[in-house]
Parts: sequence; structure tokens; C-alpha cells
Amino acid sequence: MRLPALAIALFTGAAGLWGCVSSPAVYDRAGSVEKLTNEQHVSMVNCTPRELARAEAFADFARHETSQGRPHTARDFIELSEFNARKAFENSRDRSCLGDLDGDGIPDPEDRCPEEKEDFDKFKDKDGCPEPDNDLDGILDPQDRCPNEAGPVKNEGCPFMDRDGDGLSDDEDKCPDEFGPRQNHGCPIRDSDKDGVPDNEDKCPQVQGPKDNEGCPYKLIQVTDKAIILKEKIFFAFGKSTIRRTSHPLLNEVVLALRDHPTYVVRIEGHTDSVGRASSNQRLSTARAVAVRKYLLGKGVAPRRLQAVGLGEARPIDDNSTEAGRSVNRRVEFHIVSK
Amino acid sequence: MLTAFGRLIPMLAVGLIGLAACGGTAVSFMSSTAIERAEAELRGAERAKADELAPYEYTKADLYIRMSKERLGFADYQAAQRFAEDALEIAATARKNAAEAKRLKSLREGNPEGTDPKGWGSIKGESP
Repeated sequence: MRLPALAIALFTGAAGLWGCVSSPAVYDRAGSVEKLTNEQHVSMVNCTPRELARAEAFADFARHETSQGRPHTARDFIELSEFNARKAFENSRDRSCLGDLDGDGIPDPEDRCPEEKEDFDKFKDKDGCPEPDNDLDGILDPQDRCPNEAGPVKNEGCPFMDRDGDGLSDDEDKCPDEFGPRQNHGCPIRDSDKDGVPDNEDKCPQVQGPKDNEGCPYKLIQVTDKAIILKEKIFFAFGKSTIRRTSHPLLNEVVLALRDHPTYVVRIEGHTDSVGRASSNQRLSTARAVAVRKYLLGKGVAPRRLQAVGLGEARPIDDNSTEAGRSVNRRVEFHIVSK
Repeated sequence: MLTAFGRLIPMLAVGLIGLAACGGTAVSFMSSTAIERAEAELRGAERAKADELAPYEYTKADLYIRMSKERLGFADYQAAQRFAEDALEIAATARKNAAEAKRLKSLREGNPEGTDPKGWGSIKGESP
């Protein structure tokens, strides 16, 4: 009777020991199964759902059996679990196993809208979501002539351009093909008489005139290539160099002409008729030329631009034997020395 | 002559045995009920075609019910109860997922490839 009792005691002890030793192995193996199934769980659910269910359930059962001290059944369960886990892993590697609920070709884990098909309109086509109004201008893409550029309904969803690049969009530009400032509604400011003075600043838009004369031609003078020609005479006090007040408007126009041509250098020539002594005439003509220069200097013309010279009676341009001729010979001329 | 105490011992023994029997029956009854509830849930999942539309959850729930029954057969009531409760939960998920899969399937079938799934095309010139 003692031997069987001893044998039973030994067997029980060994079995218990074996159970204790094998418990960690079962737990480890169950942990490995869990790790494997977690690795591509979504793919397994989609492609090998039954194998995955068995792998997980049997791992759980193996743990339970181990905890209850039933190592044999625990081993059977863990082996079944591992077999199914391997099978599930091998058969769910294909990318298609990631799942694609909406069937748009973008796997669900990468699809921000797994239940809505991507519209594949070459606009954010990788996110898996359809964009009904790409440019968010309130016009749905099928009705939007420019689906990727925001634009108003009246232009069929396209933005208004600025064809002339003047900063005004074509819809608010009265002259969309001509560059023009905003204050002129996008239209260019014209220069009808082509005198360099724009029409909006030109008091004589149809007649050429210098800028300093507000676009109007000079009335009392004429500027040529070689000279500033006076249309009337400069009047001086009799036998003196004092300029009469009546000639001031004429000289003022000369000032304007010099301002309008800021590089011109002018020689002011004084001339007399032949009445009286030549030396007197010489002095008088010089004095008058100098007086004119002084007047112009007083109006702001730079001194270096004005030369004054008296030529006396030496260069008549008319007949000194008549009063009319002598009147013409008494004169002041403006010659352009350099431009 | 038995004393009063001596007479009480057999009565106590009978009482304890009876109580133990009642307790075991009660635990067994609880486990059976849990299994029945899990099975009912699984049948519901079957009606929702979970075996086809949610096979992962369906298979798992089925395995847990089987395990629960097996443990009940070995009078391992606690384990039977635990597996039955797990099975119930998984079967409920199976039913829910099957219904959702069915909804998505019909949505897909109702909107074949190339058509407008939300009917945007029907809205003209207006914001959605």
C-alpha cells in the first residue's frame, strides 16, 4: 500500500511542477500570437476573419486552461491558436486586405472618407474624399467653368482677369485691354494732340502746347529749332533800357518756354536802327539785352542759360531809310545756343 | 443516549448538504442562462447574416459559446459564465457590424461606379 501512495504523490508533484514550468511558455506563446494578430489586424479581419477569430479565441482559452492547471489542453489550444495565427498572417498580406468600403481604390486606413468615393478630378485625389466644390466658390464643380479657381457666378465660377495688368479686374475696368489708372476707371489717359500733356491736364487737348503752358500753344512766341521767335516787339522807354510793362506778358511766355526746355541755353541779342551814333546804339542795344536778361533772371531762369549781347545797328533786317523799316530793326532776338 | 447536541449534528449535516446542492444548482442555472442568452444573440446575428457579413465576430462568438458549454459540462461554472458573457458581447457586436455592412453594401449597390454618390449633380448653381 505504501508504494502506490508514493507513486501517486510523485506523479502529482511532477505534474504540478511541469504545469508550473510550462505556464510561462503558454503565456509567452499566447502573447506572441496576440502580437502577430495585432500587427495587421485590419487586414486579417478583412481577408482571414475566421482564422483570426480562432487564433484569438484559442489563445484566450489556452491562458484559461493554464491558469486552471490543465497544461495538456492549454498546449492543444495554443498550438491551434498559433496555427490559425500563422495562416491568417500569411493570407492577409495583400494590400487589398486593408479594406475599401467605398470601393474607390484607396484602402480604408488611408481613406479620410471610407464611405464616400473619391471623385478623382485631379484635385486632392489621394485623401479619399470627394470635393464637390474644389475652389469653395459656392459653385459646384460640374457647373464651374474654373473648378480650381474661385470666381463669381456671373463669370461661371471663373475669376475675373486683369488683361491689361493695370490693377483693376476686367469686370470693373472700362477699358480692360488698355492700361489705365483707377481714377480713370481703368482707361488710359489720352493725349489727343500728342504734345506730351495728358488730356486731363491739357487745357488745349486738341492743340499741341508745352506743359508749362498747360498744354496750350504760346500766343506771343514761337519756339523753333534755332530761336525763340517773338510775335511782337519788346517795348522799352524811349532811348533807354527800361522794359515797358506792356511787354511783360511777352517775356513771361519766354520764361515758360525756357522752363519747358530746361536744357536750352539762349543768347539774347539787342539790335537798334541806324539813327544816332553807332557807339550810342551799341551801348543801348547792350543795355537792353542785359535788361531783358535781368528780367528773365528775376523770373527764376538760371544765369548760365542766358547770355546777353548788344549788336547795335550792325545787323539790320529791314530798310533803315523808312520808319517802318527802322521799327523792325529795333529789336531783341533770342537765339538758341545749345540744347 | 444522545444528547441534544448529538441529535443536532445529523440535522446540521443534512442541512449543509442541502444548501451546497442548492448553491451548485443555482450557479449551474446562472451559467446555463448566460449561455442561452449568448446563443439567442448569436441567432440574431445569424438572421442579420453575420456569418457572411461579420465573420470575424460571428466565428469568435460561436467559439466562446462552445467553450462555455464545454466548461459547463465539466461543472466549471465560473469559466462557463465568463465565456458565455464574452460570447454574448461578441455576438452583439457581430449583429451590429453585420447590419452596418449590409447598409454599406446596399449603398454601394445603389451607387455603382461612376455615378454621383451624393446627388451633387442634381444641384445646379447652388451651394450644397
